[in-house]
Amino acid sequence: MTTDPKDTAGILATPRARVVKNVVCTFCGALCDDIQVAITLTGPLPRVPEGTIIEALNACRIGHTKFLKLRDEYRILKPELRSGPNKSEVRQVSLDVAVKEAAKILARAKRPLIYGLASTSNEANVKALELAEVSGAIVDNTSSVCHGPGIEAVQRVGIGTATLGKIKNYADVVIYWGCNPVAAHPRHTRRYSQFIEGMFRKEGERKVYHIDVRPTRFSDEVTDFLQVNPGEDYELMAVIRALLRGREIPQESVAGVPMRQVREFAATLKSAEFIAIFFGLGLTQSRGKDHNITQAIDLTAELNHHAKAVIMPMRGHFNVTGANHVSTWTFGFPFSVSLETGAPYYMPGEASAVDVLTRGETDAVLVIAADPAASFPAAAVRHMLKVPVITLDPKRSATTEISDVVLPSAYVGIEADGIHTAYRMDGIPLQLRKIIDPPKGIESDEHILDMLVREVCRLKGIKRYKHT
Amino acid sequence: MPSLEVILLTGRTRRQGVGLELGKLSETYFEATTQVRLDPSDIEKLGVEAGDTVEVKTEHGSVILTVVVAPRPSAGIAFIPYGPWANLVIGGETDSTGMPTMKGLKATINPAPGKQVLTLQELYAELRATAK
Repeated sequence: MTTDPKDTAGILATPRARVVKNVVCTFCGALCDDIQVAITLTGPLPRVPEGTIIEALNACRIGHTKFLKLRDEYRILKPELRSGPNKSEVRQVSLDVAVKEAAKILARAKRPLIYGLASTSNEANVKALELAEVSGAIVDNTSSVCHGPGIEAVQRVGIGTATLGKIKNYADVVIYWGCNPVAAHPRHTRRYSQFIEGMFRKEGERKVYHIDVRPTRFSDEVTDFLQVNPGEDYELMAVIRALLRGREIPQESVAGVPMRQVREFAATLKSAEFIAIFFGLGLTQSRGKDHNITQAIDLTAELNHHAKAVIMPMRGHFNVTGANHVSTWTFGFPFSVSLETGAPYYMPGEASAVDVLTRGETDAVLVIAADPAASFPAAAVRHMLKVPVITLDPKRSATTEISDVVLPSAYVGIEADGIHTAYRMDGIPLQLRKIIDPPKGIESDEHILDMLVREVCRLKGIKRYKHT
Repeated sequence: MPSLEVILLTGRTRRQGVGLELGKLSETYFEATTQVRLDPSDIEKLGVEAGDTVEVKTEHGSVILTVVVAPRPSAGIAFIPYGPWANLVIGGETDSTGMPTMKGLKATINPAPGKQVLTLQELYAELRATAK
């Protein structure tokens, strides 16, 4: 049932709308780059202003919502200074005033935390890291609560991976382990694995396996579903490795999966030609965390004795991969970096956002394109409620509601001026384009962060390094 | 009052994804993230019905949520979509990885007749009140 990509932009091209093809969707790490966006022209449709997105063909339901609900009641149109016991007294100010206030908080702080960066461009990341350096901050991106443990595993044992295009063209066995693409990456299977024809694989020819702790809609669609006990993925992978080596396993089941099913699965893997393993937060957020990924990579290495095998994390936020890349090429480390001493130190568990907040070890927080108030454990959020918080976000979020300074920004890849790029989950960089104008007075994250760097440098008397 | 021991999972749902793009303050996001999905057999054991409120408790805290029937069999497992409400029962310990354990926690569920799910504002007011 291949329905994508649709090329029906013609039906949208009325005299009242223009169509922009091959727009990159900035929702998840799959960065679908075949979205066809219809935008109203002059002589607008009744009650629809010029420059409004009225359709986003090919996008999944979540991406579609993103494109079509840019300008609803939750969009922030003016910078805000918030005060009062519940931060409910809101004063709208100019961008200059808000940036000055934010810079004052950062310059005054002894140990500021800069967090987020996964839902913005690489260019904004560059500025945020410069800001971290001049502020002597701890800088962490959302991968610390996403695929950070996977990165720690890669640093331990390396990784054999491939591009999504190669997997689409070659893979005959695809495994989704501890993830639910239907919910988090809705078009992944249609673009790269199950419902797409590759150069050497016909549609429907591939075997697709789902391994997870509970059945979901996705489990109904696959070749076989292996239901593993929560927190026991490590054991299952270890047993599969043993079976691949020809060892006998006397048990009747492992990690809740009947041995008969495990043996059949191992036999399929042994006779495959190209195996792709995609893993999700089911592995990184459960007992074992980084060790689960170490085991998964070791399993992939083991499989390479029998077939070509590759492994890849299902990255969530659209540019979380980019946040890791930019941090690595700037400081040498992908996340959880402390710049307190002036030199970068990599310390997951120490300089990671949840730990810093839970232990109450920061006196100011700058959040860029993320929502830690909604995604961090209560113990960490409690500390955020006690210190000044600055947030850059196009829309209201749980974090903007507890912030002292709110700096509204343009959606990168839709509204933001300038050249912006993002990295897909397989490390392929894609350019993000501006397709409509942002609301009046709204600047990009990159622009606002540049203003912040300039102001913090001025307050601290630091001479700014000029990039050549 | 009946009580149920379960393994707690938090995670993504498509509705939660749509809600977060729509806006974290939207009704869709609230509805998508203030539910606990339980197997029909577990709902029966608790003596409640879909739509009733229950209290989910772990060693890290407790939260009132609305019961939703899990669309597929999952006896012994309680699933809460990611969000501020799920995070009330997640701990801040990361085992030196930066990552809290957000899946596979032990939890107890009790019926909570008459109790309401907190709004986002009430939730933060409660966190403020308990912040040391």
